[in-house]
Amino acid sequence: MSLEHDIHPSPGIVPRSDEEIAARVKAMEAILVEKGLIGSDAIDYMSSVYEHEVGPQLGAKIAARAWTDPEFKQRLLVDATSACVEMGVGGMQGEEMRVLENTDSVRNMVVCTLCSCYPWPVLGLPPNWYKYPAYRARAVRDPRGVMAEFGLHVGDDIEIRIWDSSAELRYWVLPQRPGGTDGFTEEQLAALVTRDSLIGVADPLTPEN
Amino acid sequence: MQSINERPSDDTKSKLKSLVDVLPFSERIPRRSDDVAFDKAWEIRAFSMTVALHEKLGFPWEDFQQELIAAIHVWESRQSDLSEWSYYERWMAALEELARTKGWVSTPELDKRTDEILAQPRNAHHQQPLREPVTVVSAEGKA
Repeated sequence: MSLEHDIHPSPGIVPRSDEEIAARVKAMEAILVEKGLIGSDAIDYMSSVYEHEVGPQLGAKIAARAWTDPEFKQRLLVDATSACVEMGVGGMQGEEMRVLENTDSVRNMVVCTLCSCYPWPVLGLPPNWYKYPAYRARAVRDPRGVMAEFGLHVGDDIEIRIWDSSAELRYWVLPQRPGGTDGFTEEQLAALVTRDSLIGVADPLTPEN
Repeated sequence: MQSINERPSDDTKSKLKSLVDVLPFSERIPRRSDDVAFDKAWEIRAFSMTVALHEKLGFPWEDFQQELIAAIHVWESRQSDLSEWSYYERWMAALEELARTKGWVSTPELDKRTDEILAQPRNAHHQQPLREPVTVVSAEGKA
């Protein structure tokens, strides 16, 4: 009986912290992939069905506030971490966040060249492509080409800046407010802000689409 | 090369919905506007891994269903506060048990790898803040 128990310990109830269980899930995936039972791409594919569920609602709310409240926007651009706390976004665990403003003459795009550092509490789960070597390398070498692949065509008269997020300092983009939105409420504006526009690979939606 | 912008096909989502609908205590699955919802990245990963394994290896979905029922019962029999369980924590316990009984991953193997992962500092190679852009393409195309 007890021998049986030693050979097959019950997974029962082991109290685990969030960090521990996240490591366990990661370990399970790594072993399954190494044994060839499943490919990471198959898991990526399934999770991409739901990635919007953990989506960028908070980031969208913050961008919409910045579009309607110039003083908040100033605070956001000077010290994003504090401005986000103001909007109820916490859990950054001492990590610094910086928001990059798109203007008529400058466009910003965010990448993590080494891994997948991402401003989680604000943007939710990163899209799978954010982790792909193709994005991580090409965003730096050929930003215009990558933007075009996302359907974003940036004129030669606009400067492009690529920012490398790290564990210590994470970036996200404040897109330009779309035209035709005069008199929109914050809530209506937030509905136009997409995750991709906060990473810098797309424009926000317009009232027509 | 991987396509950067691949999207899942439309029928995948309805297929997943029918898998979720038959699970025990499915009313306890976190949802937002009627759709399955996740709060943590590991939850979405554990979920996706399970359905991807089902799809790829073709084991009957009932096998996972049974493990999940058992995992929830284990909780109920050992905990006094029955309302305090997390659906995806139990989900992961069920997946571990399924992987063990199918002979995919043993518990010691999983424990060992988990410890290795926990021993690594987070983002070990990417700790320094990088305060300037890594690339600037100036207007008129001049770098």
